[in-house]
Amino acid sequence: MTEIIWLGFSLLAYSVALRIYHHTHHNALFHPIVVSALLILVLIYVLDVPLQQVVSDIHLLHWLLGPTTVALAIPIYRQTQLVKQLGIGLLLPILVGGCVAPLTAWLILYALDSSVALQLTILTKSITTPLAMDTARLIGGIPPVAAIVVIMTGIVGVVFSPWIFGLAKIKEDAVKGLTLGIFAHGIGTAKALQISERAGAFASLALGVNGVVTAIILSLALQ
Amino acid sequence: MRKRDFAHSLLGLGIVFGIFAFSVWLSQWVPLPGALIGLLILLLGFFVYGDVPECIAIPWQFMLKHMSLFFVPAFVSVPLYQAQIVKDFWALFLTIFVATVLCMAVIGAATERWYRGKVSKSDLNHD
Repeated sequence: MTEIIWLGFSLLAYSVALRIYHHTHHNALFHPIVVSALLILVLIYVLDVPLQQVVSDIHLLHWLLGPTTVALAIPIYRQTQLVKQLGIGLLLPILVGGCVAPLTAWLILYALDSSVALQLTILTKSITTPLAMDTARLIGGIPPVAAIVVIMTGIVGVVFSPWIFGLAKIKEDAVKGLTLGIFAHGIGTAKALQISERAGAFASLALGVNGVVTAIILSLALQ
Repeated sequence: MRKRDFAHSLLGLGIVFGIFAFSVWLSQWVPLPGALIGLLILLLGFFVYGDVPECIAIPWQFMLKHMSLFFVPAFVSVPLYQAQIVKDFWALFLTIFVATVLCMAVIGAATERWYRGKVSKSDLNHD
């Protein structure tokens, strides 16, 4: 019975979060994931319910992430047209960026002597969240921490993107899209779609290719 | 939604659920996350079929649009890992802010150069 109540409240919190996101003109700081989770956490605190119990009550939502990750094949397939147009070389910046992002992140944590579990978790930092959580679990990282690191990375990437594009003199919409897709995954792709349809298409391609390739490399190398 | 569309969508939902179940089973022997195996199988299917079948596109585009909802349990469980996060807070902060911003600027600038050379060579039109 408590499952139905908490699932219902999660849906309600999500729809409120969507409205807030819409009213703030899709400001990444008010991303629906963050707002809906905060609303649920506030209710858990007010009602003084054990957190672990609520997490298991809404497990169905977590389970649905699996099949929906499989469906990511739809946007990836649709963007393969871009590779046909621009040649296989288009994958090069995505692959280079996909290697540089986790390696620099890992170097910082390694230099600061963080725990091994956290070092493994951070390697999934720029992969799209569902693949990041699955990969983190497989290589010995902490899936929920991977989720928060990935989302925070996306938010930082999006919030600072106008400044970064100005500083690095990035003017092409295609490149803005690629950069947002590689480093800020799904949240970056949403931002790229606001820039232009072209930027959105390149971001989707980068998100898909980077996510799949990095997840395969990490799983095979570190499992 | 018409009756036929509804039945079609149910079929599309079933196909992807089926692929997911199969790929999770397969992940016992293949060292990749189950959902990733399923993604690759479905992608291969699209290439063989030559398109995304409507019965899969209709229900799953809706699910993809609202994928954020499925991350809520993971986010809600973050306080359970509070000790770990607090212990390495500054390392995480540095990584998320500095590494992300620096990587975006450097790789973005390099990609811009590469892309301009590519476009002027192949003379592609901007749209």
